[in-house]
Formats: sequence, C-alpha cells, structure tokens
Amino acid sequence: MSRFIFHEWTESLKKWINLLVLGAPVYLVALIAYGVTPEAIRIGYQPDQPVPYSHALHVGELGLDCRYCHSTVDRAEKAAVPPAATCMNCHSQVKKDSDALAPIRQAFADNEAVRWTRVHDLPDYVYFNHQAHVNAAVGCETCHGRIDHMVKVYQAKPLTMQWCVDCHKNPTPHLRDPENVTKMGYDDAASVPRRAPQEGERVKQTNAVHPPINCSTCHR
Amino acid sequence: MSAKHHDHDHPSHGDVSTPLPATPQHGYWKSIAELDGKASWQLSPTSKEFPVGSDVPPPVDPLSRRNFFHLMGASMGLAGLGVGAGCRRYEKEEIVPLTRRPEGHVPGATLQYATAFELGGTAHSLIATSFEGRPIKLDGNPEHPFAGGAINEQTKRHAGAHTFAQAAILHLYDPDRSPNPLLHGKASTLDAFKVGLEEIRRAMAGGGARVLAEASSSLTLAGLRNRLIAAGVGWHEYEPLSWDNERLGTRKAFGRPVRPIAKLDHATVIVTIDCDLFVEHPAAMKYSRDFARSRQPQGCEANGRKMNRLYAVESTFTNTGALADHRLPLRSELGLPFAMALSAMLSGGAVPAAEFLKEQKVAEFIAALADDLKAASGKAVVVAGRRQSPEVHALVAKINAAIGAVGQTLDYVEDPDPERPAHSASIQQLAQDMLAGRVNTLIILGGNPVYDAPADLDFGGALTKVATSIHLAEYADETSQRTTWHVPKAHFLEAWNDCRTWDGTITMAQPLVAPLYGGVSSIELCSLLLGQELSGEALIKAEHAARNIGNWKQNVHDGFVANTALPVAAGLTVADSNPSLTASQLSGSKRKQGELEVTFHYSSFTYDGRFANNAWLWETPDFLSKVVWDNYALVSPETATALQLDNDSMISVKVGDRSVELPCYTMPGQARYSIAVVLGGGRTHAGHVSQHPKNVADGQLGPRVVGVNTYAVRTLGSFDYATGCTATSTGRKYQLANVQDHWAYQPGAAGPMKYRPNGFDPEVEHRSHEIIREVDVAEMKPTWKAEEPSEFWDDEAEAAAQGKPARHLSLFEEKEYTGHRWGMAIDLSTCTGCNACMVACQSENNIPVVGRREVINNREMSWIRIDRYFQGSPDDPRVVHQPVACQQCENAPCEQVCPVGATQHSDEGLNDMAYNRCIGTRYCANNCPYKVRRFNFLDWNAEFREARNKVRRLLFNPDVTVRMRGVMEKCTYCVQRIQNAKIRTKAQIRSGQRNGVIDGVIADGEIETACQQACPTEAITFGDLADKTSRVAKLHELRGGEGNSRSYSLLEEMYTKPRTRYLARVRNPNPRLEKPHAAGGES
Repeated sequence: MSRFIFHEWTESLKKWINLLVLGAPVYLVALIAYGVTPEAIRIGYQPDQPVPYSHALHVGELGLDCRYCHSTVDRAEKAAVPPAATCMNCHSQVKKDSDALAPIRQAFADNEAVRWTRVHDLPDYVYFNHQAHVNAAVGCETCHGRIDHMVKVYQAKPLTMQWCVDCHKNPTPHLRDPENVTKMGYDDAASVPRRAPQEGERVKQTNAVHPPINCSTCHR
Repeated sequence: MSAKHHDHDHPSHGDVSTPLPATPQHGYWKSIAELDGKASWQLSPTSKEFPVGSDVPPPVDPLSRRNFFHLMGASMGLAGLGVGAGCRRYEKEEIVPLTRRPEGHVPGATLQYATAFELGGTAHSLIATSFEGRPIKLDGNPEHPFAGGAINEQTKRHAGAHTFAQAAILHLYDPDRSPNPLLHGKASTLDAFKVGLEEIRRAMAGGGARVLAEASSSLTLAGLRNRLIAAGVGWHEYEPLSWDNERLGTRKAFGRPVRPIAKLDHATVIVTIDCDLFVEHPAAMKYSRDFARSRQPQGCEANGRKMNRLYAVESTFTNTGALADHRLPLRSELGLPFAMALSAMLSGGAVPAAEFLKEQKVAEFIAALADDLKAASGKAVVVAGRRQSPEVHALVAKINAAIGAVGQTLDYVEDPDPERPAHSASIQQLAQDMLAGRVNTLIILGGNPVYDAPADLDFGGALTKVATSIHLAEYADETSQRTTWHVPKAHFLEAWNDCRTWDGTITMAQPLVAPLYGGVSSIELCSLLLGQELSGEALIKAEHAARNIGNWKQNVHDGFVANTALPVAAGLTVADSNPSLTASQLSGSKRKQGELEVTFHYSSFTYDGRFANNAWLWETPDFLSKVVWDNYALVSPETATALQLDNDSMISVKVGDRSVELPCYTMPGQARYSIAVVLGGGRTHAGHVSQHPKNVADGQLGPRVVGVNTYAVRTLGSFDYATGCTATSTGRKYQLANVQDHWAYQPGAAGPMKYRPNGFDPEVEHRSHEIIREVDVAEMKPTWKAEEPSEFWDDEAEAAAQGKPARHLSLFEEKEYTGHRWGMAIDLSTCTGCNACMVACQSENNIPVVGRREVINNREMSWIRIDRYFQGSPDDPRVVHQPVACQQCENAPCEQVCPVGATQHSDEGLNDMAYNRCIGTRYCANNCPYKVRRFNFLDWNAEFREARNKVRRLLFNPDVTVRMRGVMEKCTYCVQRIQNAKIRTKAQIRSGQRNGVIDGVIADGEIETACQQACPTEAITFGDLADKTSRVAKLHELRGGEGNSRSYSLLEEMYTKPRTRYLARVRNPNPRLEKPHAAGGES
C-alpha cells in the first residue's frame, strides 16, 4: 500500500488549509461584527429630502401633533406623508417667500408631487400596519425615536425582526395611555404628562393587547 | 393500544349515531389514461411520490450573445454592488404623496366601485376594488337584483362572479393592447383619425355605410344606433356564440320573440336540453345561485321546498351535466326528436318514429322524465340551449306550458330589441352586400368577424370590396389587419356603459381609470360618426334624460337602476308546431363515417376567442377535460376506439368540404357519434401570450400560436352543429397539456384497471370511500354525525393495571386553540366546477402563470385546484367536482419536515408560510398528503422586469408578497384578509366606533376568502370554528339538532385534522331510473 492516499502534491495545500483554519475565526468575527454595526442595520440612515423640513422645529418647538400631518396613522395601514396642500395651510401665510419652501410652492402650483425619500423602509415581504399599533397605544417614539429632536429625520431604531418580536413578546414597557400616543419624551423625568407607574400593565389589560407572534402576523 | 373516537361535546341525536356511509357502487377515476394504467404516476415507481418533471432542469438556451451579455451584466452589477452600494440594504424608495388629497381619501386603502362587464351582449354586475386609483380585483355585486340575494340566512351579502368577468381585468394592463389607431397597418393618431373621419362621414352621407356591431345591451348604443339608422346607415349585429335560436323559437311559438327566464329556486324538477346553465348561459350566475337555493338537501331554506332534481340531456359534458342527477348523452341533432317525444308524452300527440327513442335506455329515461315532469307540474321547468334549433325552443315553450311552468318556474319577458334580425342572418346579409359592392363604408364596433364569422362568408375577402373600413377593437387583431382604420377600444374599466343583465335590469358601468392606451368606447365612436364629439358620460346622461331615468348618482353608486327589469310578457299563447325531422334524426342510432355530428363548443379559455391573450384563463383547466393552453376536439370513448385514437392523437375533422386538423381528447360521457369542436383557438393576432414559445407546442401545425382556428369549419349551415361529418386519425401525435393526472394524492391501482360492468378493482373502489362521498337524499339519516378523527390511546386495562392514566398517543405535538379557529367547509352538492374560485385566487394572491411547457412538467402554481372525478362506465359516467386547496391541517405533516421552520402553525390554526425563510428543500411538498403545495421552480415573475411588462405590475395585490424563485407557496386561507379584518375590527372597537370585545369573535361573514367570495353557489364557506354560531361551525358538525351531517375530511385516517372539511354530495335520483343504494351497502 502506498504511503499516500492522496496525491503527493496535495501536501503543499496543507499550509493553505492551516491558514484557512486560523483565518476562519477572524473572518467570522469580522463578518458578525459588521453584521451588527448600526451601518448594516441601518440605524442612523439619514437621506437628504427635497425640502429641509425640520421635525425639531415643527414638533419640538412649535408642538404640532404628529397627526396634524400624518393624519391617517390611527385609521389606516399607512401613516401617510402629507400632501403639499397640508404644508400650504400654514405656509401660504407663514414664511411664504422662503427659498427652502420653493419646491412645496412649486408642487402646489403645478399640482406635481413632491418626491420624498423613504427613511423607514421595511422589506417588501413585511406588512406593518400603523393603525394596529397606534390603537393598541404604542407611542410613535417607540419606533421612530425622538422625532422632536431631529432636524433631519433618521432611522433611530433597528427595525429588525428580532426588535419587532421582542416587543411583541413583551409589549408592556412600550404601551401608554392612548391619549399620549404622540407624546415625545414620555419617559423623561421632566415630561408633562409622563409615564405613570404600572401604566403599561394597566393599558395592556384595558386595551386587551396580546400581540401575536405568528409568521402571518407580518408575512403574507 | 386501542383506537377510539375523541369525545367531543356532541349533543345527542337521540339514537345511535352512525357515520356517513361511504359511497357504494363503483370507484372513482380521474382519466382514461388512469384506466389504461398510463397515468403519469402509474408509469414509473417513483412518480407516485415525486411528480413527473420535478427533476427536469430549466430549459437553457445555448450561450447566445444575448445571454452572454446578460450574464456579464449581472456579474458586473454584483461586483459594483459590493463596492459602490456598500452596505445599503434596500433600494432607495420614494414616497410620492398627492399634492392635494381628495376628501376622505386614505393613502394605501382600497376603494370599491360598482361597474359592469358585458360578455356577448349581457351585463355582469361587478364590484371593482381599486388601490390608489388602479383596479386590482373584480367581484360580483351583491346588491344587484339579478346577481345578489341570499342563498343562506347568514350570507345575504353575496353574489359570486363569473370566471370570464373576473379574468377580464387582466386585459386592462395588457401591454399588447393597441396603443394608437392604425391606418393601413401603420401607426397613426386619434386626431388624424378624427380628421379622416370627416371624409368618411361625407362618403357615408351618400349611402352604402354600414355598422357591424358585436352584441350589446347598452341603452345608449341603441339610441345612437337609431340615430345612425335615421341618417341612412345600415346596422348589423353579430355574435359568434349567439342565443338567437331562443328568440327565433319563441317567435315561432308565440308570434313574437320573448325571453324565457327560469326561476330555478322555485323548481323541483329541472330539465336541460343541450344547455349549460352554470357557465355558458347568459344568466349563468343567477341560475347557479337559484339552483343552489333549491338544491339544499334540507330543503330550500327560503321557501321550504324540497331538494330539486336535475336532468341533463346533452351532447358533450358540461358543468350542468356534471351536476345532474340523471344525464343522457345525446347528439345535438337528436334534441329535436327528443323534445317532440317529450312534448307528445306530456300533452298528447304522436311520438316521432325516430329510432333512438326505441333504445331501452332512452325510452326509460324519457318515460321517467315525462312522469316526473307531470308529477311536478307547476314546479318544473325545461331549458334548451344555444345550439338547439328554433324548433326545439318552440317545443320547449309548449312543454313548459303543458307542465304549468309559466308564471311559476318560468317568466317570459319582453325582448329588449324584438325587431333585430338574427346574428347569423344579419352577417350573411352584410357579407352578401359587401360582395355585391353595395357597401362602401363599414364600421366594425368590437368583435373580430374576420376570425369568427362563418367560414363560407369569407368575411376577410368581402372586406376587400369595401372602400373604407374602420375596426374598433382593444387589440389590433385579425380584423384590424384587413381594415383601413383600426381604432383602439377602451377597456370596460376605462369606459362608461349602461348595459342590461339577462333580466333586463339596467346596469351601470363606470370607468375606474382613464384609458391607459387612449382608447374610445363604442358609444363615443358612434357619437363621432354622428359628427359630435361627446364623452361617454355625457352620452349616457343624455340618453337617460331622454328616457326619464333619474338618480344618476345613486345609479352609478349602486351599479344598477332599480326596477328596470324587462316587463313580463302577457297574453302569450303557444302556437302548435309540427316540425319535420331529417333522415338522420329519424334513422338509426348507429352512425358511420360521413354521418358523424360536429358541435361547436365555447372555449373555457377564450370564450369565443376574445380572451386569447388572457394567460389566467388559458392556464385555468377546462371544467371537464382539465386541458390547458389548447383547443381540441372531444370524442366519445367509442369513437376513440373505432378510430384507434390515443390520448395524444391528432384527428382531421371534415365538415362539408372544409376540414381542420386538431388534437383530440377522449371525453367520457360524450354522446356517441358526436364530436365537440372547441372554438376560440388559433388566434394569429391576439398578442404575446398566445404566441409565446413556452405556450405553443412544438408539433403545432399552421401558425405557431396557441390552439387551432376551428372557425375554419364553421359555416352558416353548421352554425350550431353540423351533420354528415367525417373524422379520421391523421397519425400525427400531439401532447395536450392536461392536469387531470397531476397531484394524484391517493392514487388508485398501479396497473390498468379496465372497467368491468360490476365495478373496478378493489383498490380503486377503496379510494372512493375516502376522497369523494356521495349520498342519495332519500338515504339521508338524521342520526348522522360528522366523523371524528380516529385517535390512538393506551390500552385502558393495561394502563389501569400499571396504575397510570391512559395516554393519548399522537405523532404530533398537539396544540390547544383558545382564540379564533379558522375553518372552511366545501359543499360538493352545489359546486358546479365553474372555476370562478380558481381565477379569484389567482387574482387575489398574485399567482403566477407558468405556461404550457411547464404545466406539462407538473409545475402549475394554482393554489386551489378543482379535481374532477368520473364514476362508473366511461361511456356514461357521472362526474364530481372537488375543489382542493391547502387543508390547513391542525397536525400538519409539512411542518414536521421543514428544516428551517419556514412553515409554522399560528395560534389560530393556520399553517403559515414565511417565504423569506424558505430555502426550497421541497420536503414539505413531498410530505403533504393532499399535494397542495406549489414550488417556484423558476422565476415565474421574471417577465415583470421587462420594460414592456412593467404596466402589468399594476395588477398585483399589494397585500400579498410576490414570490421569488426557489420558494414554496400554498393557500393561506387569504390570511391578508383575515389580518386586515382583525386589525380593522380591533381598532374600531378600541376607538369606540363599534361595540364588542377587542379579542372577541369577528362577525361571521365579515371575512370572506377570495374563492368563497367568487363562488356563485356559496359552496365554499369560511369562518371561525370557535364561534359556535358561525355558519362554518354548523356545517362542520351541523349542531343544533339539524342532523344529517354530511361533513367529512379528506384522508381522515392520517390524523392530520384538516380545518377544511367537505360536505358529501347529495344526489336526488329518480327511483325509477336508479335504485337507491342501501345506506353503507356494498355493491
């Protein structure tokens, strides 16, 4: 019986195999590390928009309610980005000559749509419904973060499946009195109104919130 | 170990409960091939487990230059993606809101509008669902007086929608529709046409102008027609599948044409002569619903009548024959002597001396039928079909008078257009005038006469004698190739219309989108011809004002004008008729070559050819033959044996001196010596679908398009059927794509199983007991209860000896369900096999079309299939239709084998499918005992990425994921509808808009699956089994003392506990024609 079962030249592969074996953990660590970076899961994604609309100004300083513009958020799947006409409700009076608002005025005059860039983008096989969550009394900031601090909107939460499922398994920390759904900074000590002790537990009972974690809850 | 039944909280029925008896008699079989031992799963030992074609590699063209660049492009793209796009997870998406949002508009929410579709001059009232301004789904209009109305107490809001009407939405986004007018085949513009029209109008004024219109019931078109006639324009109307024989017949009988409308819900005996009530008849949807009303085994709920009995006399198998209690296969030409004999037996007179009437089977049938009709006087009705001659219709009028049907089970209503000449006479007149040079201008409104006019008229040739011709059509079709002008016609969802349903109710059609390809409607073109340019809306408003029809807004909203059904004709007396019989009707029932009959049959795919570019319809199997993507000749088993025809032979059919060669299908139950030729194939200018290489067979003769043009042998003399025909085998072979042997989940015998007079092999018979259950109404027992799944338990004595409780032994981890328990019941008694559910499912769930070639490889994707079983002798079998979709097993075998957990059980008992997790092992499909899982072998949606097909994406249902290559899919019970209804209900309760418990039951009937919604007979019921008052819960177990449980589940012994249960088909045979079987007895 010959000494070699494999061909002799395969001996030269050994060092490469060693390199692979040694390199594999490094590669895996690097891959996983990259996979969980905010960049990969898109936290902080902050695209430019056609109009530099500042939520920090409108929500944070002026105190507009989210539902003034996102008017279908509690009665439809989509929160709805407002039509230019909504902007013009105020801006036909306020700052009506601002350069930054030119695209809105143009769109309104020409009846042409303003093309906004989507920030919170779920995969096409995921069906998220705003109405279901807002009526169950999950606050806007739970998924969208402190919009009232954002001059330019960015993605604040990972929006990954695990993140969704975590909340569906334990929604209590994220539930609040339905009338405070749009309140920003609800958990801050200085906030008025602010989260009461046991509020989530109470709302879960009164609102009968039992989030399902079936596949078809989101995938259809 | 011992088997025992699970002890549910059944209310006691008093005495001993027995399970539903298994069907005695002979076994069920799916195809002649199966009888011969040649079905695909019989041919090789592995194909019983793996369908044929499951290992066929995708067809790859050699590395052409085009493919090379394709691949290069893809790899460059990938490289670029890695470097440039970096970590971007998804494509950048835009949100484009309206600049001004109309009041009440909710972005992303669907809206529903009433509209109507006209097929062959009859309206179908529809509800169109529109998403962001684009129609995506069509359903029946439940409020329409002729379409809706309750069958069951709990389903008042239901209508059902015709297969063709539902599928017609596909044409809206068809990129093959003609985008601009053509002048001598060259692209032109609508403005140029309008300029050209000025000259045409000047020529018209000099006489010699004609209009040839497809049948339409539009009031406005009728008004414009009268104005054109007044302006000297001749008007002709033609429809290849015409019901004019009925008008001619009633004219013979009553002196003026009237329209018989049967009231099947009031009938206990229904007889059809060569008539398909459930698909082909213009009132098919209404008839289906009315039939279901009087077909309830417990009696008609609405009026307490007993279950009806249906007799069908027909030359080829139709859905009506499949549902009939007694069916007599009879050549179409013998319809006349049959009707004469029946009339003579009912109201006296001599029975004609036709020889076939002396055959024992026919004699018994007709005698029993006559007695049954007499006994059911006032509660019986006879309906004759389109193909039967006017004499038969006149005789049927006489028969109906004799059995007291008029006013009871039948109304004669006034014809909306009594002066109109018959379609075939009208086009004959036109063709003669064209040939004689009496026509200088011809305007063709819709239709495709060059393709479908009687062949002996040579309409295409006659067109060359006409100086100027205009064709208004959705596609630049065969006729448009021959006319001076082609003008694109607006799709029915792009145009206004005011047409009539068969009862005459004025039905409003409103446009849901502006014409995508700039088409105009028939009424708009007529208006242009009159020198006015008015919109369809203005024209209809003017017509309605002239007719004093008010309430415009209400009518458009409702989709109909209330109380506008045609008036019931009064003062009718039947004239006696004494038709003479031809030699072939009188002489022997044996025929020889040269004496055969050929009947012309509508196509389940294209109707008369008009849907030839409709891929949904082409891939929906024919109701009875289960063939897809073809047209063919149906021959009887006897003829097949005589001509030595196989399942894949080509035959030449000679009618007069014309012949056509086409594939043949041996149709069990086809009348002897009668060959049914299916129309509607061989369209050369239909569009891409009918020309795509993957849809056209390699051995195709003539033009490489789907099917064969059989209008080539249909002449004026043989408009309905032809006699004296010859059929010969040409020796050529041709494989029809047929799904009848696909998804055989409980195959019968492995080898040939020749039918013997007293039954089949035990193995085949065994199958019948498990899959199909039938019972005679007389045998129904109030003590039946639904069969419970057999369970296995520890031996009680043994367990007691060991001091342990007996354990329930199950292979499955069984779940307790505390919330909703979705379930479905399918009633085989009222399923007509009309395919409406299949098309509805395709439309709702974005199901791809795979094409002819891949259907042959067992790769069709339909989530719901309708299995068709024959029972009994191939010469005269009975048929049962059984829709099968995912059974949503509580103990789902598919879930046990998925290595990645892509298919999981939900808390509500649904077998969920997560496409994004599926890695395509196909284990689940192999482990599914019902064979309902469908695999995306190829990227069926690849074509949607082509630039020209982008418009077709607009039809997708946004609530359902479009699946990619390599994933498994299956019926979901329309989970998107369930979830949306739950979300809606909860939100409404939480916000105080609705009373109720947030997690409580959802009102029964609020969630309808797409198949259920489309079903005209309400054979499919969906609901929450946890709600004991729901209809589905009652049907599953028939609680509440109703008894007579007919519910059973498929493959009960596998203990899969399916959530879909079937209700045994109840038949109501005439004891004189068939002795009822003893319950549970053996043959």
